[in-house]
Amino acid sequence: MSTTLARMGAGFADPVHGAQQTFRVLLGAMSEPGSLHGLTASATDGLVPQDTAMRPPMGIAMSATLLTLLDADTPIHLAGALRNDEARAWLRFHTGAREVSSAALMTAALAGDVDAALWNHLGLGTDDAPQSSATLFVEVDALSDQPLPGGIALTLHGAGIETSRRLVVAGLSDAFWRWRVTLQSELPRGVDLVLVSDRQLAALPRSTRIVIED
Amino acid sequence: MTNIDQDTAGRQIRQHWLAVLAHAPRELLERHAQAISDDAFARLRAPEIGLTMVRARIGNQGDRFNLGDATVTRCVVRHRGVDGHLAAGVGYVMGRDEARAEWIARLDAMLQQPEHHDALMHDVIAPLAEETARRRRAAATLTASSRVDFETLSSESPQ
Repeated sequence: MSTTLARMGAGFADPVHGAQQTFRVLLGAMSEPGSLHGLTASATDGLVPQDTAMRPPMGIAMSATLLTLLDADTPIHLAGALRNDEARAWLRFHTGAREVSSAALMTAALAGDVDAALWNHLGLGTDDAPQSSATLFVEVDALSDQPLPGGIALTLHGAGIETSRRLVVAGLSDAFWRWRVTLQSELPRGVDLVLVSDRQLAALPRSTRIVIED
Repeated sequence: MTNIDQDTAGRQIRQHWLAVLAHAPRELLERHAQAISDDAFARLRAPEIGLTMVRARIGNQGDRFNLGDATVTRCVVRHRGVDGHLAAGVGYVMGRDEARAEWIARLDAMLQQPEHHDALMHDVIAPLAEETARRRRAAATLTASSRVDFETLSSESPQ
């Protein structure tokens, strides 16, 4: 146990201020779907230690987001490149959150592409209790409002967007976005999506309608 | 030095020094902790104050009941030894004293480093244990002076 602890990655230097500042950024991202938000150095203070052995086992924005939103009552499922003991132990130590197996997922975090094996398990909530649905956090290769190599461009409409907005995401497959489009007819059931990349993040709540550009 | 992580013996030694540190008087603990340089330490979990439910049993028997909440301060630090060996130290103390929790965590981390273990056991843990034992003896003596033994006399049974 002590050996693991000795190699544990760092968390926020100041947990209260780090979580408050990150939460404010997430709030902004959720209320303006698809807009790009950067986490300031003061929000992520502590997550980029000089000593590389103390780096958190995931990207900066993913670390800050999970440290902010998880606690002992949040069952989380880790997938993709995040499905490892280091990430599990780090989340358990800093947030108290326990990992759950894939049944009826409420919160899932992963790095890399999302596949059908995962999205078929995500809870969509019910018409009576849509809030009991899953929130999906994905670490992608890059986010931009400009064309990206290997990126898929999305045109967004809906609450929080005046006319339309453009978001380009590199690292998620066409199949994933087609699945996301099919969910749109299920509203108010659905999945809220938070995309992170390095220090950036963007949110696509279920109310956002997306059109995949050619 | 035994392997602190794995053997039962190692664990018992660590439990012993953590208990000694947790019961040590603040002034003495401060003096020992101030003597340590800050350089080799990084905070893994900054000192934080929380509540814990203390449970008890009457006369050490029967069902446990909730005695009440107690404040606890905890802290985790990491120490990098001269050879680069990493050790994580934890400090848990009753009450709301953040500095004390961090001092204990630092001493615990250094006690796990082979190069500091023996010196610290001799210079810090042994005197602190002696001081705590002395205080307990003094308190016990004070209490014992007013001790009353209640005895129930049974009536003599008729022959």
